[in-house]
This record gives sequence, structure tokens and C-alpha cells, in this order.
Amino acid sequence: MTAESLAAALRRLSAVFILVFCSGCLSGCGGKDTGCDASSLETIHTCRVGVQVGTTSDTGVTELFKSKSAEGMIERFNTSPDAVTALRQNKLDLVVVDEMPAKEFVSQSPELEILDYEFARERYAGIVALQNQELLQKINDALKTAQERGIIDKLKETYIFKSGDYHYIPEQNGSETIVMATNAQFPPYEYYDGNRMRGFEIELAYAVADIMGKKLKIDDIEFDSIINAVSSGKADFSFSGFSETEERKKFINFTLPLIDSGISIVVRKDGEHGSGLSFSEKFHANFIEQERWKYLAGGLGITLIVAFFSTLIGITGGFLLAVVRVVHHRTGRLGLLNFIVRLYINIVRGTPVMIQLLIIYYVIFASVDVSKILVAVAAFGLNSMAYTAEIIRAGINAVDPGQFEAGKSLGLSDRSIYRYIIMPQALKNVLPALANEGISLLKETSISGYIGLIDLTRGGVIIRSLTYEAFMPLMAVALIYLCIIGIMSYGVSVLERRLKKNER
Amino acid sequence: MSVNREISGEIVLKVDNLCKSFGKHEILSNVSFTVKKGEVIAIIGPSGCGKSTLIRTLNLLEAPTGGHIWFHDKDLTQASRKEISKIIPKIGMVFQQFNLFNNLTVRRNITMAPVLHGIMSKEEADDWATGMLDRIGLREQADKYPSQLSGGQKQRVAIVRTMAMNPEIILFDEPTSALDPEMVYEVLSLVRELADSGMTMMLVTHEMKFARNASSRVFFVHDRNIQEDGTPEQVFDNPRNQRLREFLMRVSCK
Ligand SMILES: Nc1ncnc2c1ncn2[C@@H]1O[C@H](COP(=O)(O)OP(=O)(O)O)[C@@H](O)[C@H]1O
Ligand SMILES: [Mg+2]
Repeated sequence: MTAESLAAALRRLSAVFILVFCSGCLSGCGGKDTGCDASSLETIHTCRVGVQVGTTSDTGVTELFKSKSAEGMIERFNTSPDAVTALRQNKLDLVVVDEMPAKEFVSQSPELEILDYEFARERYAGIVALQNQELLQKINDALKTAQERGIIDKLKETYIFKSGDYHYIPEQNGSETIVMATNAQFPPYEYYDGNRMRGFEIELAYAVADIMGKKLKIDDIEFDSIINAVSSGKADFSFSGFSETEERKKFINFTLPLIDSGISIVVRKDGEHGSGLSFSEKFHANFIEQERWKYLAGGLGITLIVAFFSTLIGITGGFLLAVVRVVHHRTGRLGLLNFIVRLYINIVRGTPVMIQLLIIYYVIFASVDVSKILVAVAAFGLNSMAYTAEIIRAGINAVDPGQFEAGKSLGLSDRSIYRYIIMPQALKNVLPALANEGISLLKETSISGYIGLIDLTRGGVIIRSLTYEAFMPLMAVALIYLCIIGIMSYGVSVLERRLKKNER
Repeated sequence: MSVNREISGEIVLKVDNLCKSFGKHEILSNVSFTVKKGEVIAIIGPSGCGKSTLIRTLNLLEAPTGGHIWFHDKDLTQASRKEISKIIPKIGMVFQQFNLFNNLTVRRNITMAPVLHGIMSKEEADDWATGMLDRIGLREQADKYPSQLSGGQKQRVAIVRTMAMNPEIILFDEPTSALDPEMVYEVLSLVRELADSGMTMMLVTHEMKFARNASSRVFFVHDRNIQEDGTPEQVFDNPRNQRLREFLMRVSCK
């Protein structure tokens, strides 16, 4: 009898596989001739261009293309490796990105090259909250000290010119913590190497923190959230490849420049397609090399923890909310509470869970330093609570009113009737629906990356940013989700059948 | 032939000008009667005339919209929550749809309320339930769930469940109407046995033969009130009310 549902699950699984591999094949053969002329800045608006959203490349390209009424040619990506991936798949004609990462990309992908003219030139600096003049001064002093000690030049040699192998060894014996926000998808400035963050700005930040006598804590978050994090006090400062613009100066202060850099244009060499790596080579590069599979394993752990505890909160809280609503419905008591609960449910169901997550992290916990796992558990738990409350309420209402009347006629209190008779039956009715809610919650946690939590999805994104390869990491992540959810669904169907057997 | 019963003068229930409306729809209007200890009152009447509503207001499953219900010397319509919670267990009820607790075993269905009320200890209740189930031939079913029983078995368990509270009066709302014909007898025998033991009862029923044989008094409900109130002989053999005569004609033709 369980074989049937197993077979159904397998059928579903194989369908997904087929879909997935077909799309994988298609992705390699896309692209069309757009008549792109990338010979000079005057004509590049005829090309499909990719940029990382929120970067100075984005601003510059937008300005230029707007002036030529070619804004439709711009595609904005969350990270520049995503843009490079799209370029390799022939979905773009060029990518505009900072000089150093551009060199990094080209060295990794032999079919790419950098055009010999620059898009622009700029200088990177750290950022500090507007009102925090004192910290600004301290960081600037520390930068000067670092320059005097030769740290900055030696780091440049290591990371920018690739001619040295100096690394700054953090001392970290300060007692007070200072928090730096960054977006570690920007080699060679900040990126992941194994499970550690490295890069020019990362090591420089350690040096600066040591000189200031502070302990450095690094928060890896989305690039477009960094300014927000710094100005709201979630982070004290950021080294993340920020160039000075008048617009940004309205919101934050810039430190002394950390480095001078150009913005480059990356294109495909003529006639080159794909990286030519075999399947097993790709597999090795994405998962085995530098133990990259650990991003997935660690991410899976986080995903499961967040999903488990938020489901727990969702069910407990949802149960309480449902009781408030049912008591109000049957007795007319708890009017105010019921109003609040209804409002809460409507707000939660009427807004995207991602916005709720961001609000909880950046608004509600803005000035408190809490663990991100806790924030994610709270956000998804509070979200699930609203849905669970409605599920349980429906379950309670579905219990035959005769059960309540029988309890009444035996002189039982309302409380006893609910506790011993109604609730057990209601919960049994809604168990499958609750399990399904748990499944969709598990999938929803995939947006945890937005507050910098490295969950399963984010783990895949990190691998992607290291290998510039979309297919393998995405498929791996999808398959892992599919397996967990497959197991859960199977459990639910077994449970459902058990429950049916007991009654009726 | 109706039974000769010991009916003492003690009044268990006194209903005085009871009214019940659902919104604008008036179902009962100024109904008055008394029930003495030991009486078995059959309530008959066309369907939809308010028989269920009448007995459901007696234990406050429906709130009366007017009048008084005296249980001995307490007026249920004026009593405090606490007083009501003491009285309601003394008024048993058996439902047409049995309403056994689906999530509890047969035994727990019977023992739960008396244990929660502190009438019996858990062990006493278990023993009592086992004894009763044995008497009605359902001892084997003690640990089964209601869904595993036949309708007749369910209703007999429901009756035992009510008796476990040691009530002074039991209200039956068409206890055999939801049963397959071959199960009606087993339930009616138990009801009859209970009646013969001297239990005070009010019984809404469409089983005219049973009403005639087992009851000491019959109410004919029609047009928002009790139109005829008498012994089974008076009501069945000598109906005065025109509607009652039509009603009896219709049921006997069935
Ligand atoms: N909860 C209720 N709300 C509104 N109308 C009701 C309700 N319960 C019963 N009624 C109405 O009261 C009338 C009497 O119903 P009922 O007492 O069940 O009749 P009987 O048991 O004699 O068949 C019917 O017209 C029915 O529609
Ligand atoms: Mg009825």
C-alpha cells in the first residue's frame, strides 16, 4: 500500500529530472545576433549589457544608456558572477564590472576577455554612518597607520597585482567588537575561499580593526542592503568596493580611499562558446575542489534548523491564535484580541514573506545584535503562524457540533470539551495540512540569504559565484530540496493513511 | 397495555410558560408542564414542530427566550453558571446521532465525565463501565473506537455514558431514528429496561407502538405548544385534537 505513493513520488521525481536536463541543454544553446558594436563607448549601447545591481557600474551604465534611449539593453544581476554566467551563456554581449573582479573572471574563463578601453575609473573607499564622525576619524587614522606600515601596498601586491604572497595575520586581541558589513561576491576584494572570507578589503579591515584595538565581526549581506545596514547601525562600517558618488554621500560618510580602480568591459572572445569542461570536470570544480560541497552541507543544516524551529513556532502560535478566534466566534468574548489577531493574519497574508523578513531584520531588530538564525526563525515562524491559525481554525470548525453538545449535556466545562474532545479531533483533521504548511515553509526559507544567512540556496549561490557556472550548483540545490520534500511528503502520506485507518 | 409504574408525587422538572424563538421564528410559545419522578413521557408530533427544540431547551443546549425551567427548587433560567454546572449533569441526554466522542475509546467515552466531575475514581469508573458493557453484551468492544461500532452499539454505549453520571432524568431525542431497522430493537430494549427500572425520562420518538407500551404519559406537540397531554390510552385511543387524529392516521398508514 505504501508502494503506490512511493511509485507516485518517483514518477514526479523523474519528471522533474527530465525537465531539468532539457532546460540545462537549452541554456547552452541560446543567444541571438543583436548587431552589437562594442568598438567604443559611443556605440556600446547597441549591446546587451549586464551589471551588478546597485554598483557604480550600474549607475554609470544606466546614465550612459539612458542618454542614448537604450535602457532596455541593460540587465541587472544580484551579483557580478551571475552577470558573467549570463555572458558565457550568450545571453549578454558584455558585462561592465570593476577592473579587478574583471581580471579575476577572465583568468577563470578562457573564453572571456577584457576590452582595451575602460568604461570609467574610480576610487573605492570604506563607508561609515553619517553621524559617526568619531569612528570615521579612527578608521582614517588606522588607514594611515596601515599605509605607513606598508600593509596596504603589500596587500595590493598579493591581491591586485598577484605578485606577492603576503597575508595580514589578524591579532584580534581587542575586547570590544566592531561589525563590518560586506558582500563577499567580489573577488579579489572580498570573496569566499573555502569557508573563510578573504580578499583585499577583508584583510585590510582586520588590520584596521587591530590598529583600533577592536575585534572584527564580518557580516556577509546583499550589496544593496549594505548602506542601509551601516546607516541603521546594524553594522559599524563597510569595506565593500564602494566608490564615492554624490548620491551616496547624502546617506553615509566615505573614509580615505582604499584603492584606485577602473571599470572594465568584459566580452566573449569571437566564436567561443561554453567552457568545454566535461561533466565530471564540472562536477569536480563545483563540489570537490576546495571542498565546495561544504557550502551545501552547511547550508542544508541551516535550512533544516530554520525550517524546523519556525514550523514549531508556527504551529504553537497558530494554535493559540486559532483558539482566540474560535472562542470569540462561539462566545463573543475576547473581542479586542480577536480584532488584533485578524489584523495580524491579514497583514501577514497580504504581504510577501521576503518583505516581512527584511522588516524584521532591518526595522524591528535594527539596533539589536541578534543571531541571524534567530531572526529567520522569528520571521518564518511569525509568517507561518498566520497560515497555521487559519488551518487549525478550519479544523476546529469542521468538528461535528454534536461532539460539543454531548460534552455540554454531560456537564463538562467548555475548557474540558475543547481540551479532551474538540482539539484532539481538530488536530487530527488538520495534521496533513499542517505538514504541507511545513513543506512550503521549508521552501520559503530559501530567501534567508537576503539577511546574509548562508542557507542551502545561498550555499549554492556562493559556489556559483566561485565557479561562474550556473547549472551544477543550481541543480544540486534543487535536487537536495526535492529529496527532503520528497521524504517529507512520503511521511505525510503514510501518516494520513494511518489516521484514516484509526477512524471511520 | 401500558405498565403500571411507581410514580411518586415528587416533582423533578417544572416548566412554566417556556418560549423559544430562533430570530423572528417562534418555535415554542408558553409551554407549561411538570414531570414527576418515575414518569416516562413520550413526545410525539409531526417533524419540524419543535420536539427537539423543546427537550434541548430543558438542559439549556438551546437558551430559552422566555419562561422558567425549575429543576426541583432551582430555576435554571435564573441560576448562576456555577449552579447550572451542578445541575446539568443530573439531566442526561441521548442524541439521535449518538454523538459519542470520536477520539475516545468506548470505555473512555463512558468514564470521562464521571471522573472529571469527581463522581467516581478512575478505577471505580473503569469497573463500572466494564460491568455495564458486560450487561449489554459489549464488553469486547470496550477498547474500540466509536467508528468501529454499529449504530445500535453506538447508541447503547451513549445511553450507558449518560447513565454513568447517575442522572435524575434522561432526555432522548429520537434515539432510534438514525438506525437501520434491525438495530432498533436492541436500543429500544435497553430504553425499556431503563424505564422499567424507574428512571424518569422524556422521549421524542416516532415509534408509536413503543410510545404506547413503554410510556406513562404522552405529549402531542403541534403549533408551538403541547396540544394533548394524557395517558397513552387517552392519546392513542381517544384523541380529542383534530391534528392529533390526522397525525395518528398518517403514522399508522406507514
Ligand atoms: N438552530 C436553529 N436555528 C434556526 N432554526 C432552527 C434551529 N433549530 C431548529 N430550528 C427550526 O425550529 C423548528 C423546529 O425544529 P425541531 O425542534 O428540530 O423540530 P422536530 O425535532 O420536531 O423535528 C424547525 O422549523 C427548524 O427549522
Ligand atoms: Mg428532531
